[in-house]
Amino acid sequence: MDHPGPDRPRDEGGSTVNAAEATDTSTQTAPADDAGPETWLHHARKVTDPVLREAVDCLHPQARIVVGYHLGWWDAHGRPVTAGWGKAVRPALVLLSARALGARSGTGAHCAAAVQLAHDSSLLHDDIIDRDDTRRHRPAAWRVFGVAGALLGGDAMLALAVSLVQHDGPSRPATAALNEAVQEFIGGQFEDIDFEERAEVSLAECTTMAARKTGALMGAACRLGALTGGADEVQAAELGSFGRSLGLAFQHVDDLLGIWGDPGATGKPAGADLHARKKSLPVVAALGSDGREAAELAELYARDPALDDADILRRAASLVERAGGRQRVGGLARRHLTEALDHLDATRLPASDTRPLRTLAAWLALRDH
Amino acid sequence: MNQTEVLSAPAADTVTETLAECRAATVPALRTVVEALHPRLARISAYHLGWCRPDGTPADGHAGKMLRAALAMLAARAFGASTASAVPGAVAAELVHNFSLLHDDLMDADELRRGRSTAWVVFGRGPAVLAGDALLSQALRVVTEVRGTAGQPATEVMTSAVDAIIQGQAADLELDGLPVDDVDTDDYLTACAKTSGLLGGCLEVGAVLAHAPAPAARMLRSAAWDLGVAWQIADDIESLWGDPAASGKDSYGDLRSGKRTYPVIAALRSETAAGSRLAARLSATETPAEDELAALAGLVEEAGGRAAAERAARRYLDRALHSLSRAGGESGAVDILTALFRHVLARHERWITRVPTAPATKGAAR
Repeated sequence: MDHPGPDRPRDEGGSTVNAAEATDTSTQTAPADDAGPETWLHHARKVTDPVLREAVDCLHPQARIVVGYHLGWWDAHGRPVTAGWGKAVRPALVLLSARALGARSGTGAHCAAAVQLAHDSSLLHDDIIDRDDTRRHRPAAWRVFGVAGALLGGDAMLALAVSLVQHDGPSRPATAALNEAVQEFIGGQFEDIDFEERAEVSLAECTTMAARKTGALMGAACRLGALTGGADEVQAAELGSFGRSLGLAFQHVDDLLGIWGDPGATGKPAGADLHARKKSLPVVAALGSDGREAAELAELYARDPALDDADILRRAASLVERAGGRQRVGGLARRHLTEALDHLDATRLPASDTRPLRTLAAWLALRDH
Repeated sequence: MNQTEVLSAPAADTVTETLAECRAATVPALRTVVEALHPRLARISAYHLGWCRPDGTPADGHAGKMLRAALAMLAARAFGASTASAVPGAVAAELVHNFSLLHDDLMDADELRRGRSTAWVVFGRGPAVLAGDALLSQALRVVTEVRGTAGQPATEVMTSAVDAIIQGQAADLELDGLPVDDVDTDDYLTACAKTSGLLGGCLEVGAVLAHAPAPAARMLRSAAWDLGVAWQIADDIESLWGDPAASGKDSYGDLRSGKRTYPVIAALRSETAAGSRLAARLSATETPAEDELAALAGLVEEAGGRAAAERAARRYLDRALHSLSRAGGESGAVDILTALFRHVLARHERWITRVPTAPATKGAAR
């Protein structure tokens, strides 16, 4: 899941960029190779936002208002707001992968918008499925527009994503890459629902689910960027694997933040995942540890009513930590980051061209929000 | 079979045979696609398609006739291609159709489809949402995998068809909320894209896969589009004045739920006393009582809503058949397509034949 970060208030114009400010994305001056991760994310937002707006403007008003609300452009009545659509991690992966191939700045902007739309489509539908009330600090779209409106908004975003991906360069391999990823993350979302209903889930199953739910689309983002940048099949495959491993690392960190993240930074209440009794990676690792803590945690998770009390939530978090869940998942996140960087090396692209990807990868896998 | 009312027996037999043949050519490829899904999503999709029971054991008898697959295949045949070459288009069309049914049932909270519980009732909302998403994405994947020069335009046709049905669905969601003094038949026609968008895409994708000239493919698309409009209008008429036993529909269900159907909109815009009385009643907040529904239907008829709808359905059907004849396909295949168009409206034909086509009716009711 994408959490909005505290860097967002500095997002001058990123999410409020005027649609009239041309979709000629090449006019955006790219940062230098040694720029920091937040600069790259900011740049990706600036390049992608006008393409997204132009695409969303073509929708029927009834779908457009839902989509634009979800993307943080306006409120329920269409009045502009500056909430924005998240950190732009996936668009940045598309654009920086194209850049790693030596493509000029702005190459892959339509694919970047497509990947973001596919991701947001899944978030919108996820919120309906999980009945989550809040998304990016605001009421979830289904709370505002009803299930029918939100369902349609998600469908519209998925269809738009497929249209956009046909826009930048080799369209058939690109469409195939996106559709494969979509298919995979739908399978992952399904397993996610299934796990919540099952008594026992193994860490391996949970990791496979995370690979599908998060890894597939990040892998596709990098693959799409590589393809639009003119990569050969080996490079496209390695960049795809880089994105997939990075996605896994990202999800491990996300699950850590779901328990120990700072609510002010993540936009979720403290211990949100425990409150929802989610079988996230640290919880599953802890439950599988066989100790006294695991038994007590299992008892807490099975208890009715829900884990509402702040003391019980703290107790649960401490049990997960003492059962080794936090350490184990942190270690796995670092391991997946290493795998990701190995795939990047295997592309044999010049280090200076892949430097922004490395910077971003390290930041994503070690972030605290 | 009631299509014998409007089709000669040989034509009816040809249509039935053609539908069965196209269905047989589509099902194996469709099964392959469905079976490639996540196993549980495959189960939900197979249940929805009428292939299995909720527990996965094979079912028989409920599977649809796959009209959309037949449209794609016949369009390909009309331009000299084999049925086999249209399989990806046929499969994609059926996948898109079933995606939209899965999500529509949820949006409308419908609990029954073809006499069985809808997928969301059996498997839950979340799984039904995801199964729909999966079918949509598979549909587009199937056409991108077409080899040769037809792959690109076929992908574009299906992408546009999906866009059109989503736009139509959005317009449809908006339609029932439009104020009675403002809603117009144009609003209705925009919402018709939810059905017509895909029917148009079916013929167009078949033509494109057969490398038909672009103007011919567009002509076929508009033929099927108009057929869809005629179908929806006739369906509206049937649900107000038809026999619930024959239509399988709840009588007056559309009036009870305040749907802005074509006859209702035409009555509201009729500038008649009956139309004003209907408007006053429909803008009131309380839902009509059961014993009031027949009287409301009477008002729609008195205001000329029924006659206007019958004329409009006729006009769209005629236009559809006219476009079909002008597209320039091989005549044998076009004849079967024409018979198929009539077959689609067979049950509804009685709602559109009462007023003969005459120049005087042109342009009315719009």
